[in-house]
Amino acid sequence: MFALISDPERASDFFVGLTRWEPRSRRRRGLGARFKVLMRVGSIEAGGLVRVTGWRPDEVIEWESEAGITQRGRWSIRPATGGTELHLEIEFELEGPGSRVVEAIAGRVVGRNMTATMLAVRRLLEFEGRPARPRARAKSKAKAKAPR
Amino acid sequence: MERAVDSERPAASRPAREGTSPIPPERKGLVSGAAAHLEARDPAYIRRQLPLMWLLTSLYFRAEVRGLERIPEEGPLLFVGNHSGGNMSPDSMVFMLAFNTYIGVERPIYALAHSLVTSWPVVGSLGKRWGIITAGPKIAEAALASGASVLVYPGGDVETHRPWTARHEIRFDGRKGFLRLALASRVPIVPVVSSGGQDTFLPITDGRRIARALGLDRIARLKVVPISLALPWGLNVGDLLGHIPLPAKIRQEILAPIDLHEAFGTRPDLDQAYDYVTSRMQEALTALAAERVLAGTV
Repeated sequence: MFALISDPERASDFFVGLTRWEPRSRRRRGLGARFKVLMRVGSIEAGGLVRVTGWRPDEVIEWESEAGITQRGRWSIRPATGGTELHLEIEFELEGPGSRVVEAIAGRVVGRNMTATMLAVRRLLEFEGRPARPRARAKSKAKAKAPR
Repeated sequence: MERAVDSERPAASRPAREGTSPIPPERKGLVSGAAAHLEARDPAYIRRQLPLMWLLTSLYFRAEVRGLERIPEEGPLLFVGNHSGGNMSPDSMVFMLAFNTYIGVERPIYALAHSLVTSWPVVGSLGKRWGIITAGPKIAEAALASGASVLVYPGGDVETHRPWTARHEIRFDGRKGFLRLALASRVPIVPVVSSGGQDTFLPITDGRRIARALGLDRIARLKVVPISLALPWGLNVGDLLGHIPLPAKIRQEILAPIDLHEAFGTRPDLDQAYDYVTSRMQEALTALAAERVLAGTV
């Protein structure tokens, strides 16, 4: 599971709505790796440059934005009865007039993309992957956090 | 380790410190006359306005922008668009939003506009913070020389007020200044083709004969006196106060960059280059128009 979600080459296979997840540093995986990340939300593709800020193999991948939309994301893998639980969290912050409304509307779009992403991971691992792979349970969480 | 990773970060994606000059020190002399206009662009302000622009373009115009991945990641570019929607120009709004969210507000872009737009009391001053500057070859060259990109609508007032029956036409009116600008600045042209803007009102005639008879070209650089049906005026003559655009769907496509020197040699024939660029754009506009099932809707 970790091999799949940490592979930038395969991001487009399962990350629904993502139009770009391209390495922007020599380091392509692990702590400090940078990526240009874009997701289609309504009329536009929004995102920016993110950097991997947390990396514990088979446990956690975390990233934070360095340019573009202010965002944070986290994949986490936890053992569960009869399989493995995979969690995906994405938070983003907007500024200025209308930002609360956009966070609410765009948050729903991102949330649906995340749910579809979890289903895609599950499909790849349980139905199209090798038989020895662990079972993935889809759980997603989209959070839009307004700046104070 | 962290320091080594930091050094890998490409210069183009490094955010400019907000409030500092967009012009590198070695270029300061070259662009000193235009610096004040260019420095009015305010990345922090643009970032704050993006949510509101998103609401307008996504919900009201149901905008659809394609081909952003064709934009080269580095260097100044000359975006050349077809202009629609009268003085309200929803296609410009859609493009500025798409560019600033896809590329990021840190990479500067300036849009050239008619002096009537930039001299409006409120619109003009807010527009400057977005990077809207009064069209002119010198300031455009200065912007490109500073490393920024520029958006230009060669058809200007003639194209944006063309009648509804000509809505699917690229109408640059033989203007080739954009080609000279791209050649002099040695930057690629990136065509931006939009469809749907002429469905946001109902332009009846561009009134070119009236403008000629009144001598408006000499007085105010205006080649048209457009007459349209538009909200809230009903019959709208001149469109000087703008109008409320109808919520027509806007489709936009960014085409592959055109390097004029590469395509036409060291001394390109301007007529040939003009025909090439406009025919590429016409092809894309006709294809976008073919997707439209019913005017203004889908």
